[in-house]
Amino acid sequence: MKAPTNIPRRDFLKGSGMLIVGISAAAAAGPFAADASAQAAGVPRPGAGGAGPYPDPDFRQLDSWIVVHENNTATFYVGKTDCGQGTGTAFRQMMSDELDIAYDKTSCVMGSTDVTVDQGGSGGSDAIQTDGWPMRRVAAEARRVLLEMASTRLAVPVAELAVSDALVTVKSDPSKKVTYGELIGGKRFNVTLTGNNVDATTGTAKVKAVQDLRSVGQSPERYDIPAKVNGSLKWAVDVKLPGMVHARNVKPPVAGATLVSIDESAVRNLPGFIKVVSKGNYVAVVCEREEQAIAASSQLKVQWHKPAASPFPTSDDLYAYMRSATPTSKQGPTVKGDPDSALAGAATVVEAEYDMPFQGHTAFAPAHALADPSNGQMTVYSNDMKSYGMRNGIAQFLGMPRDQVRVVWMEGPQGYGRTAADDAGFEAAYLAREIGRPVRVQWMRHEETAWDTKGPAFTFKMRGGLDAQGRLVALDYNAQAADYCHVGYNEADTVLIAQLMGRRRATPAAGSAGTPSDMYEIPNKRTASQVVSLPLFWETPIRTGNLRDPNGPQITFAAESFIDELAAAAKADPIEFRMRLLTGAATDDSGFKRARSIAVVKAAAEAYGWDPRPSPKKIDSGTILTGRGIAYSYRNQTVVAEIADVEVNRRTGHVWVKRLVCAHDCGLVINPETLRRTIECGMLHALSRALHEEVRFDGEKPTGVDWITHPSLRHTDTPAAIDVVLVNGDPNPKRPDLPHYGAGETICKPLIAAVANAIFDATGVRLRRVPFRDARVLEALKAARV
Amino acid sequence: MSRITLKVNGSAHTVDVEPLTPLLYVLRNDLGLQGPRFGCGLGQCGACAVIINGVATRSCVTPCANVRSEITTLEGLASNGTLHPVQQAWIDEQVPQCGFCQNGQIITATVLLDKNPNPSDTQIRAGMAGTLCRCMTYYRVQAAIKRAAATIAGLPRKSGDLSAEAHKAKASLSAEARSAKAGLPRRSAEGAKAGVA
Repeated sequence: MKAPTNIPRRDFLKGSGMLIVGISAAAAAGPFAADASAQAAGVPRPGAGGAGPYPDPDFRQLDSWIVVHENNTATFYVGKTDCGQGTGTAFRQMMSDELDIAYDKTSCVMGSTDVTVDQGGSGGSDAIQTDGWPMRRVAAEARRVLLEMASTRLAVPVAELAVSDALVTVKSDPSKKVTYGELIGGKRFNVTLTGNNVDATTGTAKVKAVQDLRSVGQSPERYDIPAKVNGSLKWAVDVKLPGMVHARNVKPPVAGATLVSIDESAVRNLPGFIKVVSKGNYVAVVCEREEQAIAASSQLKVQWHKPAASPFPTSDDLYAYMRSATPTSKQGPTVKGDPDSALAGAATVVEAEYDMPFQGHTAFAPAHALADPSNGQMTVYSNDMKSYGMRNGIAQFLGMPRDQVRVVWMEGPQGYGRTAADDAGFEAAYLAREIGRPVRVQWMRHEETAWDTKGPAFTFKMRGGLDAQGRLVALDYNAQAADYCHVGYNEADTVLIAQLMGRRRATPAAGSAGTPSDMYEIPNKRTASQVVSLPLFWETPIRTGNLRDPNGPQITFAAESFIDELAAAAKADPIEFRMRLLTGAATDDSGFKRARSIAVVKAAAEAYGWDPRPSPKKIDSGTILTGRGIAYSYRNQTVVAEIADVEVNRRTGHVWVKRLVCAHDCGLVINPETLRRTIECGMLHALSRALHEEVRFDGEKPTGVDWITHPSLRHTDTPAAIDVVLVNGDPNPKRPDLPHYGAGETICKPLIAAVANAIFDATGVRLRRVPFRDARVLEALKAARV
Repeated sequence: MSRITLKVNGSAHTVDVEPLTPLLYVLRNDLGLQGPRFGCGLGQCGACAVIINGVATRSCVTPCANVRSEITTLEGLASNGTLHPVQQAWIDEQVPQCGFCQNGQIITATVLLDKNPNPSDTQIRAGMAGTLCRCMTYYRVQAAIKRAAATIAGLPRKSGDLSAEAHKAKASLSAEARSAKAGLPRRSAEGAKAGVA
């Protein structure tokens, strides 16, 4: 390695759980460069190249990842964003363990394109599973380099040194010691790393064995929470810049409407009015103050031309439309054995169809961003979970060189996919260039609820065959998703402003439907899926994007409801029925996954106190009917089994899930307490989708536009008890330590089916369409004379 | 435009705005406060909640000229640098996910406990029902309210409100709690490496 070079001394401030590092200007990007403009804006972040340009931090330089300060603390720079699950705390735990520094002597900076290497931001619940590895390896490399430096300084071989909490000592004489800060504080490592891509980044040092990790497996409190509780956190919505102005959009009143004319007379003389900006069917009003922009956008007179054809069916007609539509693409069929013969020869054949509606993100706060066009560059302050993608997309959209655009990631309302297709950043950047001043855009509630990206609607058709002994001998699965023209990656030709301006790609994204991700062993099986399109797929509020495990909750609702139907037809206990499918003779290489699945299902049953019996139970005589249901799923190495206890009011149809149990195996757990909360909240998010959420629309527009017309889970729906069991389930005693897999999206998969199965157990009525709102449940109970 | 004087967190501020401007925008854009935030602009979610006359008030639908009494925001709950027991319970219980709605949760819970220091589970659910969270932290919010109620019950208090004395007593309690917690990270009861944690 090269000797460290001196760089200008940094001022190191620490307060309110946030870090401000200011240094004088340096040419390079990344942690060692300065950011005068962000500092002036009071944005609490270490900065990069001030006035720009903003080249990419080099992931093959150790200095892009870790800075050790003179006061023997360290800052980690990672290319991820935290959507609220505490991943930043987990990154610090993993990296501090590898670096051998105490957790509370570290801090973490995330997701700003000019400061942190491009690890893609958030998505896929892979932050710990995938991105955690280069973080661990570079921290291990920094430790190795520091030990070499200590060896030179203390004149003893590395093998004779010990290191703990950023202090290196000579094993035989602990009075001989040197701290990391003394070795390199305020200086660059100047160490080049290798790896073909950022995920493969590595030095020559090896990461530690699991038993040598100290902070990992403990539960330090999340560092971001105090500032969120005392009001001191500066969110993306809070950034203020000198000269900034405010914009609000004027959306087409119905899907596919085209702009005829704009009459500015009603707003021209309003206080603070600056400009109406419009291009194609995109319209926005810019004013000096926020409330002025809101007023002007609602008073602006815009004439629109409605499309001749209806852009979509009504939400009530959706499933019939989907079942009769010609697919835009097909996946499969994938066939194992001979399902047709097996079904023909089965003692019992069960058939069922299931429906899942479009469901919105309906983020707690609408899309927002502030864009600053100063110095011929474009800086966007955003909560975009994929800030790197937004940077590329905006550069392309505006026709600017990439290195003149940067996205400063700051916290915002939950991600879950919506901010991977974040329209406000593009709009703010476009408007800022038009106006020549920093422009802040925020959508209104009705815009966000109506026009955000939606999780795709699904229809399913399932057939299953049981033999005379009640064993599942054949399964035929068919899924259909309304997912054509799926957006979700901040592309310059798919974001809404681009669509409205008439700029769109020639070939829309194909979308996907997908198949169940369980580990059941079924001898004869066919899975097939299709994607269909709504009549209008550009410039429409019914546009699909990634919503927390994009297709998982839909598919698992159908798949795990159907397994329950088969168990009931076999008069078998639902868990025993699943266990038979998991312990069946393995004809593939899934034994390990199956064994982990068994461990998780058993753990859930044990935590719940499950006594085996078939569903439904004997129907209670009173007003409140009670029941229990289980569902299980496997996603990308993470296994989850969830059990719901429900109370169903037979007079009102109201469902209260009074207890939830989750057994969860994501391999090595970094922070158990934080994981528990992520699991609790993920289950309740799925519960909201099970009980309340559906995008309703007439033939031309969504009709849910706020929290009354588009309801969400509330405090009154909360279960009385939630029990979480963390299973580290490698069943091989010689291999006790699994790697760290992902947590988050898997949690959302089984919950809806668990609730449906519990309702069936309580009432004998099978609900095959989501959501289970009171009226729908009551109707089903009445139809079944319950 | 009109000159309007607002008393916020103990200080008076005069702003020059249209009288019907919702209080939220004045607090955020003229006074630089970050606790109250925009969520719906319709008074349906609670993101913008502030305390006025002991009531959790939706500032997004409150014209600023109508406000005569003192306004307390999330930033004003702490006393002499010590967090309000509700805020401390939020940290101890590690409530937030993204945290964006938590202003509404904390403000509403604070007012709830001011009026009813020992609420039942049903009263907590009913009292919080209009305050939304899309990360679905409800379960921990309710746990934190019970924790805060227990803390407040252990404090010397005047009837019905959180007095300065109560805050002071909480300060010494917090110091104790903090020293007990010294040496973070806090070790969890279960080890991640255990077979079933």
